[in-house]
Amino acid sequence: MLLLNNLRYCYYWISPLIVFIVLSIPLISFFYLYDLERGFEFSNYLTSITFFSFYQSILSALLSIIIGTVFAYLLFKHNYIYGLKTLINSLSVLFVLPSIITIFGILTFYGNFVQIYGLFGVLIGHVILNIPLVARVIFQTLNDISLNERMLADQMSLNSWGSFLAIEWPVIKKNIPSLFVLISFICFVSFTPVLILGGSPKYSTLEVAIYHAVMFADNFNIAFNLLIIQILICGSIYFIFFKNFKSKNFIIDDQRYYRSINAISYKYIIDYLLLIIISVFIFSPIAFILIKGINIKLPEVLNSLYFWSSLGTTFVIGILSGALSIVLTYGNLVFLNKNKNSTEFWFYSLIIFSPGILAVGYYIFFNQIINSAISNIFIIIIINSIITLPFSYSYLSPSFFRISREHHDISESINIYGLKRLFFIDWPRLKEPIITAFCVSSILSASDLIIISFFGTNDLSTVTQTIYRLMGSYRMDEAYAVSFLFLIYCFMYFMLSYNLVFRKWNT
Amino acid sequence: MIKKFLTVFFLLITTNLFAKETIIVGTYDSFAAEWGPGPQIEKLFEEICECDLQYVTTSQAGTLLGSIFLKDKDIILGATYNDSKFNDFYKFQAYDYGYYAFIYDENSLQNPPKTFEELINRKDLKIVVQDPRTSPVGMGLLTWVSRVFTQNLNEAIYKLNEQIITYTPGWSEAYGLFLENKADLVLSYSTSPYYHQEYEDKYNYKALIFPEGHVKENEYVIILEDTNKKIIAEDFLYFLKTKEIQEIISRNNIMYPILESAIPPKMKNLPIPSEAVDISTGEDLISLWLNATTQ
Repeated sequence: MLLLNNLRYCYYWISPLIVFIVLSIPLISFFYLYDLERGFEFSNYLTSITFFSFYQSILSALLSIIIGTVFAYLLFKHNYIYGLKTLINSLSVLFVLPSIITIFGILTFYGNFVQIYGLFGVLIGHVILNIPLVARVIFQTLNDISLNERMLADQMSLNSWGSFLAIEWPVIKKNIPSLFVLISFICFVSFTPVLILGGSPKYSTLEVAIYHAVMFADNFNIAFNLLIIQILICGSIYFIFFKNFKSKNFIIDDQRYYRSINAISYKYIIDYLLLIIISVFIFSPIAFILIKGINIKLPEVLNSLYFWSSLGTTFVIGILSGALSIVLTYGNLVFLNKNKNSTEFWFYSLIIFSPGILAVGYYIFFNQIINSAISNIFIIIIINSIITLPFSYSYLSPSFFRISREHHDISESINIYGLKRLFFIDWPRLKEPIITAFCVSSILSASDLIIISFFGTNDLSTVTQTIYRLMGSYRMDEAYAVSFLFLIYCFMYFMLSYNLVFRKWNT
Repeated sequence: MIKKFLTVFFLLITTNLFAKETIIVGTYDSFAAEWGPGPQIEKLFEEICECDLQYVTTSQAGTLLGSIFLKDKDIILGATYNDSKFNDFYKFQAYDYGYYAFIYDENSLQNPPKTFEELINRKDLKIVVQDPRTSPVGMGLLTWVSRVFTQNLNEAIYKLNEQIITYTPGWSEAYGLFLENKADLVLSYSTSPYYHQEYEDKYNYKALIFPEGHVKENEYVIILEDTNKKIIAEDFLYFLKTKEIQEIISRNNIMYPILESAIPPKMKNLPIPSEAVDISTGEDLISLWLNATTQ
């Protein structure tokens, strides 16, 4: 019994321990190549890009959250509209697409109407990339509101603004700090979007400077110092915004399925207009790519070996790193739930260790420090599952903490814990967010361009890499055709995952 | 049962003993892609060397000479010349070359600039180039500007920057934007029009040839000092110089072959730029550029 208890104790520590080890490896690698003799000068250029990184990330996060929240609220309020369910499901897909596709969509579509480059372009890009995440997470939590509260509001005959303040706002507010931290981190380390949409070296991030130092200047000192600065700044963002604005007091109970009793009516005309505008705003770049993808080269691509073999690799990498990511996230959630005082900062800090830094760090670690013979595909899967952790976490945690609060006492009293608790208590109630998180992390891994470029070989390449290769060889039409097929693959991946799970385990 | 086991066991051992030597070539993405020159070269070389040639690729061509990419490779293919690093290599040799040039579409740009001087003084052009911090082509532009505008380099960079709408991380994004008609000019190689002529039958893409001269960039194949496969590697270098391979490289990599007789007919018709004199002062061009553009 003692042993069993110890094992149980161990289990709680395994997942956070893995995250900790995973984070320290790139730091060790960078430090391994650190030359203490060399000095470090903070030039004007570095000051200006540090400032810009900070400034644009805060702005992008604010804008994304405002628009995303409005969007989620409207989607929730008008969920009776036919076809909205598909729109909501597509949001997750939108967030995980390779940024090269989205950015090309933004440039080629919006570039037709406005002069896009500069701070404006960076903001548009980041907002379009992140609204889907905000909207999806907030929409999910809005669905957690209890029917009792709503009935109470009706009885008190609150108008829609009043009931928004009384019911929805507290729930939304609870999500804002974590979303804010998440998105400002994503934008802080943004690479391709900032480079292309910024249009000038004035508008670049620390991440670009780190990349340049590691890849071209072979100067690990600058890279390590900048990484530390990046961690410090993001750490402050976390502790200022997250620690101080997190509120936990809101009521929730078990009956949480709410079907709006509204019907289409002219008094909602402004709502409908807003819904349409935001949807068009975020979906049009992708729609543009889809249309461009149906071209003369499509049949040729479908007949090509390179497309199918890269799709196969993408599938394997996606499914395995998605699964691993969920296992790790769940373990960490259980740990965080046990140790209320421990911080989630570890999770979010994974974003600061952007794919670039992690990939370089691991590359050095495996090739220079330990000379391992671990197969590349495993390394790709492991790094990807780690990188996607913060995203699985943000999709999974709101519902997980709610469920565990509801069921904690009863499960403890009848001695249900560990795997048993997972299968009997959590899985049936959490399967929707788990599947969403699984799909999100699978496709995010498939969309990655950086890790695969370090550890991929010619026989081991993903669809995203193929798109980039095609673009790099004058083959734009083929690149669009492959992007089109990849978009379809993503939608199917989400759809099939949901269908499989809900048909088989529908309780 | 034991018999079977032993047969399998011995088979495994013997195949391992007589396993072909593996030679690892680090190169950039588009070279090794299915439609690039890589696979054909691999097949032809393996027929004569009795070895297994493997490509390990990076999507960032500029990172080929980074110390972390060099690790565990026998050969590096596609690097551009770098003073400080090339001294440490066992052997290197150019296999193709090109001239940096701006490409335009004559259907949409009616009055292209005739000289580099005119280009930087125009105010109406939309140019897309690669970021010198992340792309060797972008770095090539800085070298080019520094050779042409020796007297007023800062001013030239500043004026050029005024017309550049964006700096992309790599060649692919820049050229993609250009093909989407988002820019009048794109920085590429003077041989780029060959691709459109040969494979798309389009003759509207042209390179701007400036009287001030262009920068010629060789692409090198390198044998690393650490490799223990120097003999096969040297065979590979020799093999890359043969006419058949030179033709494959030229036609698929859209660059001039080193061997003049291997130039494809349509490439022969392209205008050849003159070379700008190299009067390198060893200045840090990146800092210069950053100063001029972030004011």
